[in-house]
Amino acid sequence: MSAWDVMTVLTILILGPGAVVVFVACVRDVRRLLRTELRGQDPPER
Amino acid sequence: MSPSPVTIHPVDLAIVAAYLLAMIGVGWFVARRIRGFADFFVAGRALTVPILVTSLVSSYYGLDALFGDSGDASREGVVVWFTYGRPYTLALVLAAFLIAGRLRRVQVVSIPDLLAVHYGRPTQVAGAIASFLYSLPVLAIMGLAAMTEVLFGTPLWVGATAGAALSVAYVAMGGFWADTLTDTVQFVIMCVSLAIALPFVLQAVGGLDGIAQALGPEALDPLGAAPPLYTIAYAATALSVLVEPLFYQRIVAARDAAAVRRAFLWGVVLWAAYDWATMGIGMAGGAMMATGVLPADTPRDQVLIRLVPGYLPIGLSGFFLGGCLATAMSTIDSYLLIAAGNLVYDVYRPVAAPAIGDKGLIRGTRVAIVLSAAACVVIGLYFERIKEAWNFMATILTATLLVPVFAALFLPGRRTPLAGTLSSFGGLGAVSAFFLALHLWGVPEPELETRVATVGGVPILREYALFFALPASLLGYAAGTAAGRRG
Repeated sequence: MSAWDVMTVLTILILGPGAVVVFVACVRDVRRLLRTELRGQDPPER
Repeated sequence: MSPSPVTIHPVDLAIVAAYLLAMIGVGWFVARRIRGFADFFVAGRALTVPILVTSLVSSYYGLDALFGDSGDASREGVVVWFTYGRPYTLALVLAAFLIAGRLRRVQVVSIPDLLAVHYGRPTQVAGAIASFLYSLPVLAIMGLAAMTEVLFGTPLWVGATAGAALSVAYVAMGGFWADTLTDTVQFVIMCVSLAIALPFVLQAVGGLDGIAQALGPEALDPLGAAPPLYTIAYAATALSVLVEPLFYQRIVAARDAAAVRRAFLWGVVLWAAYDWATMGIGMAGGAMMATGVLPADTPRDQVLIRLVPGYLPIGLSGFFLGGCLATAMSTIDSYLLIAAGNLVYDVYRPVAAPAIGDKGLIRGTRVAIVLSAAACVVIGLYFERIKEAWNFMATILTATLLVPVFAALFLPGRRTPLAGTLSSFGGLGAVSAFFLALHLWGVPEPELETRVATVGGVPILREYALFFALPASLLGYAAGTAAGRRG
């Protein structure tokens, strides 16, 4: 497997499954913020 | 005359329409929950690491990265990833570790705000002008116009206006919260769609072997075939990262400095992967142009959008087009908000309405968002290539802001208002004079698609502006420090 192929596979893994993992974590945080920051309640502990 | 439009299946169009409606819905949802200007402009300073990652990645990378970089790679090869792209990685890491902590301690909302604290109003206004010009999302609008021309055969101004109007619709309603929430969806669509497209396109062209055979060995040279100074000049545009208004806004909007650092580190990995994918697709497009699969006169900025939909099945093609739209709109909305903030918060408020309240600021920013969008539709239609416009905007930003901002953040001891004024206006003036001189006395340079003026036998390319403007800004700072009084 050439360096080009290794980089290409890594790219697909990062932009595919990697981005989805970040997105799922993001949705979790957004839901929590929607319950607090955008509803006029006290913000979460900083 | 442009080649004929690409054929799009109705299912793919329906996917794109659903995406657009969802974005407008988010803006409407958030608009009813905004409580004050801090909510509207910096999302209440509550952003966590995953939200920052999605917002940073999707906002900073627009169609200039997707269409512009793939177009450059189709012509120049891997130099786009190695030599043009990786200095940005270095600058991003520097920004994360050098700037985040210090900026959070100053408690400002924007770069011009920071300049006002350290140098006073004239430097604040110079900073706001440079930040405003840079933040106008001209490149993304140009990309959208090219995209709709390719897909629907519409005139450029129609695509530019429609795309800008859609972004304005939700960001003017919901401000930074709407921007941030839509960024999360836009992030995953733009990344995953590219991850899906890359193997399809590479397989179609015969992988690296097929590319190397069509483009020749110079396309695989990490340093490229352009003159070294030209390459260095492009790599030097990475300095703009250190005064990037979008990053400063997100640093301020983050929960704390540690969250910023972690988000930037995740971001550089994602950006590097994104760059590799656009480079791979661009080089595949270049190979297809060389072998006659794509017309040899395909505009470079349209290589990716003309190539990819044809190699994806129905449904995935629509997802990919949604990804292109997401890439454009996540950038347009973020930068429109920053440009409007520059006009209202950094210029109008201190100069004309010091007592303006939160409601007035929000209303003014909404109006300024619409005006900024109209301005960049007009400007965007005047540039011929995305890369050309990027160099101009990055140079103006860096030359005007780098010296006074870094002096404000890092230099101990004496800082005078005159130093800020002379360095910011010195940099801005030097860039303007340089580009004007090249416009008046330069001649087209077809090989590199730029302009050149020969001075004493030495060719001076338009891309060299920063080599003159940054020293001018430094000299201005030194002169202002020597002559000015303590502020």
